Amino acid sequence: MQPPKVFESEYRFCLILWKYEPINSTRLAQICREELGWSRTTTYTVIRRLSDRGVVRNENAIVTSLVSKEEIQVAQMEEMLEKTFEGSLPAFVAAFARRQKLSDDEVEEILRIIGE
Amino acid sequence: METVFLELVNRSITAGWFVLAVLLIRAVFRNAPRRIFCVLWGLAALRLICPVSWESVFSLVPSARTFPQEILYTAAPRIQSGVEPVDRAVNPVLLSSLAPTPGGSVNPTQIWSFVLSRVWCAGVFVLLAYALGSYVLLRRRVATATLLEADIRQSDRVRFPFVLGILRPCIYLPYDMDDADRAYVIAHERAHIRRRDHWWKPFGFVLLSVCWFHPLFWAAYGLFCRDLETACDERVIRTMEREERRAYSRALLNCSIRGSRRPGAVSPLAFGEAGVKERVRRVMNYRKPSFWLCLLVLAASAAAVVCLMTDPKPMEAGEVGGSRKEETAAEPMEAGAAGGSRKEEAAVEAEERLSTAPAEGDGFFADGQPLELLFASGAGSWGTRLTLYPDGSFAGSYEDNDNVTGPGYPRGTSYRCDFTGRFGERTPLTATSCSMTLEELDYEEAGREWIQDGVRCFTAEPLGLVGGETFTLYLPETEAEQLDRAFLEWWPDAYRWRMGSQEKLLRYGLCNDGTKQGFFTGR
Repeated sequence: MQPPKVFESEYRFCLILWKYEPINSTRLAQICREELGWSRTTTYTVIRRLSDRGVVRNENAIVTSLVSKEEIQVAQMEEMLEKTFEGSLPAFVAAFARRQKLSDDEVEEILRIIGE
Repeated sequence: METVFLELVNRSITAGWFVLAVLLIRAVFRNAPRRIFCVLWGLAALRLICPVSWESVFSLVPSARTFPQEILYTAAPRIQSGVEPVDRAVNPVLLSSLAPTPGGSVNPTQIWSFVLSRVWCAGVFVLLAYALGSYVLLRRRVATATLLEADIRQSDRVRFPFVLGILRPCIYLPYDMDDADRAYVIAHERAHIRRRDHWWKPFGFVLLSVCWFHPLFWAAYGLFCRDLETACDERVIRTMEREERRAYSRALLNCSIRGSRRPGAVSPLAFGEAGVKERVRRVMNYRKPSFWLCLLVLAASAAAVVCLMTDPKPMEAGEVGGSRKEETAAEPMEAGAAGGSRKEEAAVEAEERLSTAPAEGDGFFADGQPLELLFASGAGSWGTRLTLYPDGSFAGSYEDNDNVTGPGYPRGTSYRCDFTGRFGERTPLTATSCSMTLEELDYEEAGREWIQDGVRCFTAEPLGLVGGETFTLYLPETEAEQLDRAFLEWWPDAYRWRMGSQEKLLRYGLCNDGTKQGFFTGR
């Protein structure tokens, strides 16, 4: 069976887990807040998601890992973004930034402008 | 809500003129520092929301109030766009399609304003809900973003860098970014934060949501956001030499193309901001703006502010076309034909303005409220009520009942007339009176008979309004001594005057010059 893939943010979570496991989930959430900046709910959500995928185990509020550092694979950005609802930022953030394919020619032209 | 909506429509039309000027300035002075344009957009927003407005003779705004408040309930709806051809084209259409039918109980303009204001409200709600919803969704999306620095986070669900958060703005970056690119991106986003763009952008969107019906504001908002980006670019590269600007441009490009680190091998699924090429060009061709260019832009902007951020002076009574001419005497410095043609327009306006409506500031309707007049004898059960509006239009009804009964109508007989009409221009006679001509009077033909609820009904003529062509309107300060005795017979305070305890009318009085019948307001 192929080892499960995790995303970059989850990978960083695993790094913390490998360092401190086995660890109480509350304490883990505290560390994640300090090092990753995650809220408690976010940490718990991630723990649940990863345990559904078989990457970690959460029993009696003790969290341990099921996959080692050597085995784990980090998903690449492109694969990630294909799945998520990428792109549309709300108007007041991106403000009608027209997203269209930059053709090879246009990229060439931009490179030319830069190179001049 | 209708009044709020109407006020908003008027304000957005006046602000729209300034927006137009900003668009013009932007198009002409393409190489001016973008910071100036951001300020101009701010002024446009101010123009929209500021309840106080200055009047000046330099104002080029055609009209501060295109849709007068009374259009909501007048019998003769018309607009005052300030642009003669538009008024000429639109007003007859409005009059013919929206004037209330005699006998109808609801003014068509009321129906329209009700519907339109509710539609507007729904639109505002939809847009704000969209903004709020997408903000919440975005916040959730980046919940798993990890800290890089105090106000910078990285997320695997972020493709293009952005700033999020109003009170505690945070920069969100994707994970896979070259260190060099990252440094420039952070500098750019930090510039946004320093300029408080994370406040201005959402604020602008709120304004847009409120004025969503005006197409110019959509363009304004889009360009405003683009100007914010370019202004931040300028701020970051201000002190950079050419080589560094190259690196910055490369960062711009890389950021726009996700999915490939090597720009040479672009995957067919690459996406990018359409404005990237323009931004790169501006960065590479950046030169410190010349003193003279800045001066020109500032001068044009100042002219735009003076001419379009101020309201035109209201017309004086009797000087219907006169003051318009004055306004255009001072020609603005602004580029374009705006100044020249305006003079022509105003002159034509002054000549052609056979205003059929009296100027509103002539003292007979001090607070702009309509007058509720009544013609009746003190004892009888009959009376004609008339609501007279400042523009001379009126609506009302006459009613009389008697006890004549018969088969089918045991409860008596009644006479009724619902009417609308319009008086022409008011010509002052004395300090406290003016004369006006009855120009329109519409009511259902008299004599129609029908039975309703055991009452026999007749349509009748509006008593008090027939038999006369001219009418005289008296202010409450009028001395009763000066007035026609037949007219005073209808005056409710006549007995007091005869006893010597009241000298003045103390009510508005409307005298039918033909029949000497009189309408009066309450005290």
